[in-house]
Amino acid sequence: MNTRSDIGSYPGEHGRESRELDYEKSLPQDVSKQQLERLYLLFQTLHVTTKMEAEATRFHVTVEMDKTRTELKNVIQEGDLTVIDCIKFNSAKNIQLISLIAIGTTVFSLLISFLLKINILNPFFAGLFLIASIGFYLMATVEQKRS
Amino acid sequence: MVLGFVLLLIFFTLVFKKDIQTLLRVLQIGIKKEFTTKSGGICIVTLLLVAFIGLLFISESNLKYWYMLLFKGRETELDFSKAEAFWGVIGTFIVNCVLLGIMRSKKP
Repeated sequence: MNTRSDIGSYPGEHGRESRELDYEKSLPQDVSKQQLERLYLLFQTLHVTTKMEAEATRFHVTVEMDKTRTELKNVIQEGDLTVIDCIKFNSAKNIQLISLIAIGTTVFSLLISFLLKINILNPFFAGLFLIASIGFYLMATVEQKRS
Repeated sequence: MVLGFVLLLIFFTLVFKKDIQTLLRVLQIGIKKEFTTKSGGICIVTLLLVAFIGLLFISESNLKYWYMLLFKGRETELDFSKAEAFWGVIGTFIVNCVLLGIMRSKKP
């Protein structure tokens, strides 16, 4: 039968002591208690800093989103708005997206042509369109980096 | 047919007047930037590549053979002329200029 002192996880005084002793035994000999405390403090500081950074980032993102929403609202509320005006809003991203859709479609078509011999698009035009779309995507990426 | 086309053109010009004006302005900016910026340079290189590959496929019978072998199926024939390829490249260039103009012009 187990005695009270044998049970390491028992929350009594004796049990806690034995656990602490085991913990100290398992540590390397050259690590002192002071060093451990310092490490603990360091981890605590790091944790607090990371938490603060996360909060700040969240706040920043929220502010940015609010700003974008307001800008978008202003754009939509303008009377004489053309399709090009809509594309102009975050234009590089829009063009990147359109190019990616075009690239995906042509690659899919070429794959189907190559594997199943069924031509959704004429493979020759699909190939040329793929190269042109890659060019558009690169152009949008360069423009995005510039701005 | 010509009358119908003219009427259609007038209709579109009246309805999409603002859009056509914006498009022309954007095109103007795009053509300017196409030859003076890095992104424009990338596009010109791409277009030249497209034109080169197109012409290569039209003129080289070996490439035609490999093309037919790889994509054997319906509508694989390379039945288009150099003129069609030329207009294709010009069309892509105009689209390119419009896109570049959109990116380089002021946001609304």
